[in-house]
Amino acid sequence: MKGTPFPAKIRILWYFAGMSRILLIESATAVCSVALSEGGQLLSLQEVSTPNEHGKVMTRLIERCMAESGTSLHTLDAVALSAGPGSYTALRVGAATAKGICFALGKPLIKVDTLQSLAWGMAAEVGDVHAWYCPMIDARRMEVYTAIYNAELEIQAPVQALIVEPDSFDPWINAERQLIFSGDGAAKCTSILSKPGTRFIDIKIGASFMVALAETAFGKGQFEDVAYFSPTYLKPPNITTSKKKWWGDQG
Amino acid sequence: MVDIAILGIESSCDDTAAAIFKNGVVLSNFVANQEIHEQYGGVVPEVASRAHQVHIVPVVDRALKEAGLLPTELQAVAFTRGPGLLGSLLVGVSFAKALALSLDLPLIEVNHMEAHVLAHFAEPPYPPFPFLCLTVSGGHTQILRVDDFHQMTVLGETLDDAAGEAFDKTGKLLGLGYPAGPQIDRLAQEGNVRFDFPEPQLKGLDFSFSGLKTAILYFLKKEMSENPRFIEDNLADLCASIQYKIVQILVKRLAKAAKETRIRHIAIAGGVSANSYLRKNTTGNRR
Repeated sequence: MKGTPFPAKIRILWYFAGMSRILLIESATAVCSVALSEGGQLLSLQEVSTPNEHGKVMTRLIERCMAESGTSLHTLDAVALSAGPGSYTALRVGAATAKGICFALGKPLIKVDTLQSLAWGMAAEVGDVHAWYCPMIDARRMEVYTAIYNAELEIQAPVQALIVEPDSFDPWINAERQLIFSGDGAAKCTSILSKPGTRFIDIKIGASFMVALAETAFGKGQFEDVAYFSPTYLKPPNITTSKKKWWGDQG
Repeated sequence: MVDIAILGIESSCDDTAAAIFKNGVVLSNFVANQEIHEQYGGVVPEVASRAHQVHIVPVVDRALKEAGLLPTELQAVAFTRGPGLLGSLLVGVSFAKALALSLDLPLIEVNHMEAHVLAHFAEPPYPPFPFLCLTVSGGHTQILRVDDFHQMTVLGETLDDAAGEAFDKTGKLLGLGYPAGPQIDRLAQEGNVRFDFPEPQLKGLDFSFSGLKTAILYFLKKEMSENPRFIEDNLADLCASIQYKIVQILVKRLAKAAKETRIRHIAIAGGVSANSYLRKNTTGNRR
């Protein structure tokens, strides 16, 4: 990735020294996924794909991660959280869990953008350095949380909540670069977005996609405020107030 | 004796709260309120959940600091498991679980309704077992027979609205803001009980408050058609009458329960227990 304030040599040293042990939490979608990485290498990955089970299974998955890798939470260097956008409740389970560990053990918190993490998984799967990667996370009905990245994971179109129309991505379709969609928001758009120059790939988001991004943030010292961190909701709460008037206009 | 320090975390509705008990004594108790809900006329779950997420660390941190403890000096973590708003509960539960996992501490789940009753043991004087407890809040209205710390029997509960809801909903009809309970209490002190409303005729010890709201609505509609300023002209008296009726419904059932069970000690819990008229009508009747 470009634009790091640290000289590349130092970051590379960091990678190979294998010093950074990071717990990765991905709970933006129906998948509840936890991983442990060390020096950019995946040591353990534990996942459950049942929706609405995050609150129940997350700490158990963390326990399994630590047991499988033979480490304890005390030895972590940081906790990385897939910060959204995604399911509000699931994001909060991840955030509250990450905060609990960081607060209890005094660990730094790293924020990973969920769409960028998904784009990382897509680019790793496809390996096309010229493609546009368009990760999509379901936001119900015909809405998705989306953005467009290049193979370097640099953002090309900003993160947004988008109600998908047949022509939403037409400006991105051309003969030179293919436009690749994936994520749990992409499936429902296949029929209206599928046209020459586009491609849909079926990959499942997980904490393993976060390894490199979390490692880079750790190397740069990009940490969040554990006390006041909030997930990326992207939208204000949907509040409908009662229109009922009891006494005509007076009420 | 080994010191036992327990962190308690509560996030079942709109308040985020944390407390430290050490050997049975409350060392600190800190609550973050969410006043934002007043503008919506009730608690908005998504708004409440977002606020819990932001408040949880500062609240727990402050409770620990006031108690002069580090997280590593805790012996257990307790949390409200429910009943409550799902999204709100999940924040407190997830945080408590992560804390317990990180510090290798036992987790203690607490039932919200039991906690209302057991709040009477936060500081002396403690009620002697067995006692009756009337729990009245915006979400609950029930009479419990309490035989021991974890041995409670529901003798009666509301079949529809909670008593606090009855205050808030009728307050809304009167044009009072949310929560209306404290305002009705305050206004009622300047008014007289002049209007009568029907009482639910239920057998046993159950409650019902939805009929009262409807009765008040129709009464107000009728009066307003003759005098559009009826509410403004009679606000204090209306508040006094409504409060009188709600408290009467509660107190009559409570007296009936005491008579049937022959239990003389009575406790009152929940947000509505702050109502001055309810307090006056329950603390006076020592038999």
